[in-house]
Amino acid sequence: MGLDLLPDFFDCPTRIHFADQEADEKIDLMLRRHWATNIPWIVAAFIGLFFPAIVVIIDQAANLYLIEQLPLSIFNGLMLVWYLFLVAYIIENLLHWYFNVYIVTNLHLVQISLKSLLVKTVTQSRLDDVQGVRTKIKGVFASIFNFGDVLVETAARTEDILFADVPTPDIVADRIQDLQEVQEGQGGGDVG
Amino acid sequence: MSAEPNSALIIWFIIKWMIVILVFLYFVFSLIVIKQVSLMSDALITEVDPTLRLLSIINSLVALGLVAYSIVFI
Repeated sequence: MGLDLLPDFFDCPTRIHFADQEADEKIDLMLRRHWATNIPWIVAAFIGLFFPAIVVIIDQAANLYLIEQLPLSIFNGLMLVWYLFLVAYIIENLLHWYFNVYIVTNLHLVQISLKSLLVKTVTQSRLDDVQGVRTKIKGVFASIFNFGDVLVETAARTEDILFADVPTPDIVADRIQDLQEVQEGQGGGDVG
Repeated sequence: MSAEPNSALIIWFIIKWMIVILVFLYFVFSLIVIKQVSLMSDALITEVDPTLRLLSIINSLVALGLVAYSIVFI
């Protein structure tokens, strides 16, 4: 599911763990936003790659020749700053996508988010607190690539969990409901 | 007559140090990335964590080298 380069759907991963995972807890699904949600910033970065060349072409086409008046060292410095800005933009988008994950285990639903530069949030809800699961596929782009939101409504004392733009939302919702039924069949189990 | 070249030199000098400051800010950003990767790798443990940590450190070292480059050569 998805590109190998940008993996977004892990079915029963055995080599992935998360903080606070209980000894008898197994990850059933680990999801990220669908890889296609990265397309807008990848396109922006690609355009940014050629932005200096575009500026030079416009400068010459308009007969301004402002860039020719710059000392070479200053021109190199400006190029350096531009491409560092571009690298920072790519790194931040990539990290934001990579570290925002949704985990479905046999006991919990877990949302790990990188909110801003140094703020991490972990939202966890017990499967037996789940009261309903809804899916929503919004827009043509989402329909083409088959991704959307899965909203998990939980008991009033805990906040609802939103799995945003995850691949195959219907399959994800079914899996959560199946796991919840198993959990209920076991009489709630020993959960934390 | 000699005022024009001098003022141009001052402008290039100011631009040079603005560039150095911006490159230094990228170095600060790269340190934040190291912290981010470390923070999130503690929350989500995967096989690629050591690689990510190494890449973030290499990025920071390259940024430090670019700060030195920009001071000396720009």
